[in-house]
Amino acid sequence: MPQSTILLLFFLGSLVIAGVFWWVWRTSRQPAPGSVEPLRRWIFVGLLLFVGIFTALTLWRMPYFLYAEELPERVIHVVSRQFAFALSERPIETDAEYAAALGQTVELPLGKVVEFRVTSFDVNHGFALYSPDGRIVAQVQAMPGYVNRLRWRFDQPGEYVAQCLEYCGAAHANMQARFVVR
Amino acid sequence: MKALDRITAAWIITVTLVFPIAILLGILMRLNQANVLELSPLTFYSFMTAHGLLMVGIWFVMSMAGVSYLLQRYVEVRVWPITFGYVLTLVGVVLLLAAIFGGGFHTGWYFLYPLPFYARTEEWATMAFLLSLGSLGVGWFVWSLGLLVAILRKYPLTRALAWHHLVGKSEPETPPFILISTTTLLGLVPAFVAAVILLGLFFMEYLGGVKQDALLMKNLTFYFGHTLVNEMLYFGIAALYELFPALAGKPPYRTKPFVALAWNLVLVVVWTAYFHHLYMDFVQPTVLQYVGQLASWIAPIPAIAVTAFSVLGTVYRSGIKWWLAPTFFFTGVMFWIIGGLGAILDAIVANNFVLHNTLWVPAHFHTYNLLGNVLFSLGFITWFVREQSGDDGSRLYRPVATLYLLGGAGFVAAFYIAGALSIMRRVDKYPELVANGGVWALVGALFAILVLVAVAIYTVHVVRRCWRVLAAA
Repeated sequence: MPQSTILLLFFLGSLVIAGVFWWVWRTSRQPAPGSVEPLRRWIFVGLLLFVGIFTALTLWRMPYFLYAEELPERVIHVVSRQFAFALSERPIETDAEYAAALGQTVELPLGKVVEFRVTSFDVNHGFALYSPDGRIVAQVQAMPGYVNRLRWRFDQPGEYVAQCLEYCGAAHANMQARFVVR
Repeated sequence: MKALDRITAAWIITVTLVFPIAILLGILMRLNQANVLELSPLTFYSFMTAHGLLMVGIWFVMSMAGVSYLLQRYVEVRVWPITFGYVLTLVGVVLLLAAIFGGGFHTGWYFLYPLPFYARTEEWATMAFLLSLGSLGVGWFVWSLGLLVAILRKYPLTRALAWHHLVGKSEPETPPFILISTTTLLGLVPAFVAAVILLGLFFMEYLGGVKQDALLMKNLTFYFGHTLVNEMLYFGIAALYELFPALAGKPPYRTKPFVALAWNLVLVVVWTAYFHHLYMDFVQPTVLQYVGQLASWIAPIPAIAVTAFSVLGTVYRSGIKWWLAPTFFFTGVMFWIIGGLGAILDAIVANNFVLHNTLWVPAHFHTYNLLGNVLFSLGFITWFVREQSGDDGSRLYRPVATLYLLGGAGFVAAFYIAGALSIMRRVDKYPELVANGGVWALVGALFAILVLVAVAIYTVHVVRRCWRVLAAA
């Protein structure tokens, strides 16, 4: 779901909730016999339906299986370390390989599946891909001792920024890497 | 019981004095992000660590203090576990502040492994921080056990959990307050066990150099942290169940079968919802990610269906006299649900893929904490002050309620919008990538200042009256 749709759903839902509370608050100023008890069952059923429908619509859209049936066009190894990402088409397993990969220019193909193999040499980091218009399109965590595999297909050309999204220390805000999709 | 009055007054004074300081830290952070201030990164992240830990800590203990006080209506409450919790909390907070401001410890409130071994300027800071957590953990665990034992002395476990109500029996009645307090206290036990294991593993690495598994540590951290915050909210709900009907001039709530079912479900579901914190760790077994989404979506049903509906039904055509205490409870429930909506939208894995660690996260947890859980505790505090002093704070009603609610709503709205714009959380300065982050930080800070003014006024009112309770001893 795009972020703008999520925000819209949230604000609409919040308005409905606030509206119900405001209406009930207004009725409290005119005491009279009456009960909303008969509505309880319907509200419960409504909530169950809401949860059921949303779960059915969303549960199968897990990012873990993105493009699982396709062979990735490129594999990019990503190693995170306070406070820089090293990206390379070759595995990075040593400090020397990490240092050599820092600042390498990476170009990725447009419209093809790319697999990022993301890990960390020190603490937990986040590896979030920001599109050229500044929106997150995908992300995965970088965890020491583990390799997280993220598959993504870039449909928009331009310069992307990989930004650390897991707080990792004093220079966390500046932990970025850039690559070009064309 | 005078001793219980005094320890409750002591908790209230402590919490309401720390609260504005913690808010101020948050405002300074937002002003720094807005480029109005220039804090060093270390100062910013120290403030961030202190802000998070203080907020979670003070509102956890305040919600516990509220339940401890109200529990005397049903069972004999011993004061020593509460006092023990108070003393160890003070020790823990002193150690914590020493670690943060003396040792440059700046890991953020959830100290994700192995960051405590990196984000510090003095090596001893990690030890001071771990000892601080140990002190807080032991104090709170003993206090929780004290309350649980007090309940179980009078109510056998199955009766405290209202299982006989599940099968349709209405006698002997388990009061909802006992049911909710019991499920909440039981829910805390495994969280404390997880914390003990977590601390033990941290100590093994600190003292013995034994490297730990980052995925296991992350699971333990979030199991403990998520459960603690959730249970804190339920303590607040317990106080609401106990006090709100009387405030509205209605008879007490009864434990009906669906109420018993709801809170027994909450007890179980709360243990598995924390998986949503690890959605972006693709190496976590995928089945747990499914469990995380399902549990996160199921968890609010019993709470909303029962609590919100009960509160709305109580207020409907009631003629209730609105003053600070019922207003805090009523609006607290409303924002709790709104925050819950923000949370469950984020708990969809496909949405979390683009929202994780953006400002959407502080948006929803500030909604159900600052505007939910905190309001439940403020409702209790306001009621307690009236019980002790006869003053219901009617002069404060309009300014405090208006400033707090308006300020709080504007403050969290700025977070939601910024989160949807992919602006990240936990950065001292926004990179060029999200240059408009500063604008939303300034909007948030300005609204938060309204909250701070309301809290300052309220704190003076509360502290003066609670001080008299202490002085009367």
